[in-house]
Amino acid sequence: MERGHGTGEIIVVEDLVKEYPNGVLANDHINMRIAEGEIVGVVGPNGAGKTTLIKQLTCELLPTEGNIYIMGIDIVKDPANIKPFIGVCPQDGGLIHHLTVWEHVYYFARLKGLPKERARENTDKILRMLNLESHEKKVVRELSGGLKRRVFVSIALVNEPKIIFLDEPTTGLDPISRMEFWKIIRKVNDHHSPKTTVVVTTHYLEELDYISDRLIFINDGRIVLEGDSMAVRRLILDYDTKITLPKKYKEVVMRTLMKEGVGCKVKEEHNKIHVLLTKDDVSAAVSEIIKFTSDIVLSSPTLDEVFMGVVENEENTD
Amino acid sequence: MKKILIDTLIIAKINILSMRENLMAFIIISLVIPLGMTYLISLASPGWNLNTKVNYLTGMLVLSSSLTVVNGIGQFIAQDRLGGVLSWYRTSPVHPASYILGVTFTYLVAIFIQCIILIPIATILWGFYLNIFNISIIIVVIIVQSLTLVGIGAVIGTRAKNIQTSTALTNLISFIIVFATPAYYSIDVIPEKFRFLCYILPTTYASLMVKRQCLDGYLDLYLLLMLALMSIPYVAVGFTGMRWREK
Repeated sequence: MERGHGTGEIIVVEDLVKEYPNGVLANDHINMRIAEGEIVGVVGPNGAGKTTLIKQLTCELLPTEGNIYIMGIDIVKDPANIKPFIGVCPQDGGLIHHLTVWEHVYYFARLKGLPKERARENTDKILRMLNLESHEKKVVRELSGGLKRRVFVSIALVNEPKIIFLDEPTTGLDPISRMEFWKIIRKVNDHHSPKTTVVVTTHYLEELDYISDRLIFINDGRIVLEGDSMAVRRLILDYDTKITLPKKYKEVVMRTLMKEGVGCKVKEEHNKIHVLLTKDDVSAAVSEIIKFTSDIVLSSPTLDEVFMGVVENEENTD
Repeated sequence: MKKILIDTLIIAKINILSMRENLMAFIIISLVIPLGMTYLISLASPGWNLNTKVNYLTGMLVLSSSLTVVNGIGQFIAQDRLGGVLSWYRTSPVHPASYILGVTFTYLVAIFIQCIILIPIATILWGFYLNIFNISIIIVVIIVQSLTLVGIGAVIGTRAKNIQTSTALTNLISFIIVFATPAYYSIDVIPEKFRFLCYILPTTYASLMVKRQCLDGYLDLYLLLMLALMSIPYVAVGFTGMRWREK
């Protein structure tokens, strides 16, 4: 039976349950549908069940219950037929220390079924695309963490997959390397027609804001929220605007805002405070705060704050 | 089937390329072993006879190849699995048999190189004659014997929870092989209650055949067939033990 095939949905997950032999319930009736060309971020704290989900989608782990259809193929029953169409960047992937960058990409292209000539062409193309050309003759143990991650992505992309799965791909990278990495993924997504579908897990939420079309929040093995990042912010937070100012003004600002009847929530962080407000109260609040200091920054709440809100809501519901 | 064979060769090539930096060390060790053994034997057994020399050559070939297979394959698979390299194979359209065959082929190549270095040097140093036919038969015996041990290495590599466990298990198996194989000595020397180990170990039959090749060039086809048959269940255990999708 083919699910999702012909409907524009490239991944269909139905009532997916994964219980490990030690009794840990890592995924608890997960349902999700991902459209072709979408970039979907799967978000959750450590131990939420993100990697378990990805490992089932990439045929590394057998589900306890439920169905997974990718491109209409039932991958629980028939994992072999989907592998030529997917690219995977595993969280715990390791490279072969004495192999060069070029050799890694080329030989995995061959293992993914590409004939020699095409494997060579694709290897050269992907190394150019990921700016790895100048490193192609280096053995991978000489590479920095960021370059190794790019080799991971090169292997994942060399067979021009229809779907790529990236499990915590930027862990351990510095902020500049992380931004470069996401630019590359965006480029890959746009490069093909139809667009490449990307499923990515990370706990750097702000990065997903930059890259993803849709976010899926997982906590305790369940999907607790999904939607585009703006919708998620609106759904979760009563306060949709944030004013950041030096901490020393906390007392006086709080007193003034209370006196003016402005509802707000204050969060402290090192030498700063974040005043969270509804859109309606922003102008009143700014006109009061500016009387004490002009050192203020107006912004939207971060996805980290959204994420904390999701987890807090979940805990309160439980 | 064609894809399995092509993938096997690609995986073997990946493994061989990954070992190229250690190739010189490997060759030097293969040269040093016979030189060192010659020196030690001359100290331990002055006036050593042909039988002693044959026992030492047999021991070096049979035991070093079997330890290379058990330790090498066991550790290699465990490192690939626990170090994350296996994830790339698992998520590619590669059959698990290609992986095991590729790793096996890699180690058979290593053992072949070891044999073609060791046998001529040892025979020259120890002063006994082996013709090309004898050497070829010995290499065939060593390769078939190595195949019988692939399963043990593969099972340890695929099941061990960590590198320490796989090291401990491969060391234990190696100890049993070294102790119970009548290579450096005859079966009579082994205590009677442990003698059953000799009869179930493929290295025993390989040792007998290598010794006969060195002493009188006699090839016992029945023993060779036995050895080849023994390799079937061992190899089968290795293949079925490899899983791409965990439960």
